[in-house]
Amino acid sequence: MTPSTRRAYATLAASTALVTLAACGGDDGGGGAAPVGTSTPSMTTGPAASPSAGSADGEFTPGEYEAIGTYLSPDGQTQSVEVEVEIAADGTITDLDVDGRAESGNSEQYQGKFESGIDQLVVGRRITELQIDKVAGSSLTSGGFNDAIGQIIERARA
Amino acid sequence: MTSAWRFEAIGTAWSIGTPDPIDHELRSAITSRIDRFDRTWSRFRADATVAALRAERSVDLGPDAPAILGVYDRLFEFTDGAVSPLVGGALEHLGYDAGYTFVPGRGPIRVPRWSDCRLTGTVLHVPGPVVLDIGAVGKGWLAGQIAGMIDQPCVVDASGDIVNRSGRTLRVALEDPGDPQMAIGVAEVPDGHAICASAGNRRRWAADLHHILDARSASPTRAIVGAWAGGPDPAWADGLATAAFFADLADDRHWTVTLDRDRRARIRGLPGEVFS
Repeated sequence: MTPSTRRAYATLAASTALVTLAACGGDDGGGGAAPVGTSTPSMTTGPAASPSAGSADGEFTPGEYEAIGTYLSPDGQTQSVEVEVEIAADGTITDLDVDGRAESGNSEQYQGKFESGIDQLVVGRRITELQIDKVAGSSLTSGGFNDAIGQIIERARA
Repeated sequence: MTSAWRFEAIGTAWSIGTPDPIDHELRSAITSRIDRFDRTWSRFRADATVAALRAERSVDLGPDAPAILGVYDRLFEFTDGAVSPLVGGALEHLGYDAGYTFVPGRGPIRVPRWSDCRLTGTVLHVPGPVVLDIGAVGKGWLAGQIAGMIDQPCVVDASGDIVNRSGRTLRVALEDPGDPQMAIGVAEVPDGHAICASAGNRRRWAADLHHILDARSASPTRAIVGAWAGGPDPAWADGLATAAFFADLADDRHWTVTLDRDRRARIRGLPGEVFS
């Protein structure tokens, strides 16, 4: 894999991580102590998936992967989080699941969007394309999550 | 703001922007201030002052108590009991505990009524064992306190709760709760004002579990996925950003925006725009 591919992939992984696992500084006034780990790991209930036999022309072996990441919780205990991702041959993450039920949650959300009518919908704009000073709702990534993604990248490259 | 001081505290990332670097002495004072807050209020610390409320009926919570718990009195009243600092026990029950176990306990749990508690001076009296969680107010309140300690123009950003004392208006993106690369709108935050954000999909540890609980049902909220509030009072703005999940509470000094699960926005007095 070329360095540039790897970099692009890492960026994608990181942004996907944010989508699913972003840990808001939202309101933690009473606050956790050491922010060493994560704020939003979750339980995977599905069975462990194994990478399927993939196409030969990609940099990665496409398929579903699962890894367990560990992180340190505020009271100093080591905890783990299971992460499942689906990786295409070019390294794109096409699906990601941390809580094992994300898929149904999404379809429910889409169903809601459909029902509510398109004229009332809020449309997002890219933050990078806005003239702004700050972002309200900025995110922390999960240490355990990134650990798991790192393991998956290693395995998918093999 | 040409100088930025970044650090981690109370479980989140902080950034303080100033024209000139904050000197060592003031940094120490700010760090001590935050430490004192954490030692008093963190429900994740066994040595925190609030931990005594798990066993004792009366606990002195120190000089910050009247201001912080006073905000909760108003939030509790205006949301008909949905917002309460006594949700800590229910959060632990659902798995959001000091060990980050994220394994929900079995069976229902009841949140004690905040109206059954009483503050005398700085001493809180509770009817039984409680787990206090000031997550809906504490960070915004603390950000305001820190901003007040800084002897030059500043922007205090506590990851989602921002206090603007820069001398000019800040344009702040309202981050899409579903995609942190996207914004659903932009708020104009004048000098002297704060903006606070709250999202239910963050700090989510299972498909339907997150940290914003309705104290009446001890269950996470579902209809609203994100809320923002702003105005001159950072603690109240922070509280409104949680209260907006339950009630329509904007006033003539503070604005609110909520985004529901169908991506419809409810906009109340926002100085700025929501993209539609």
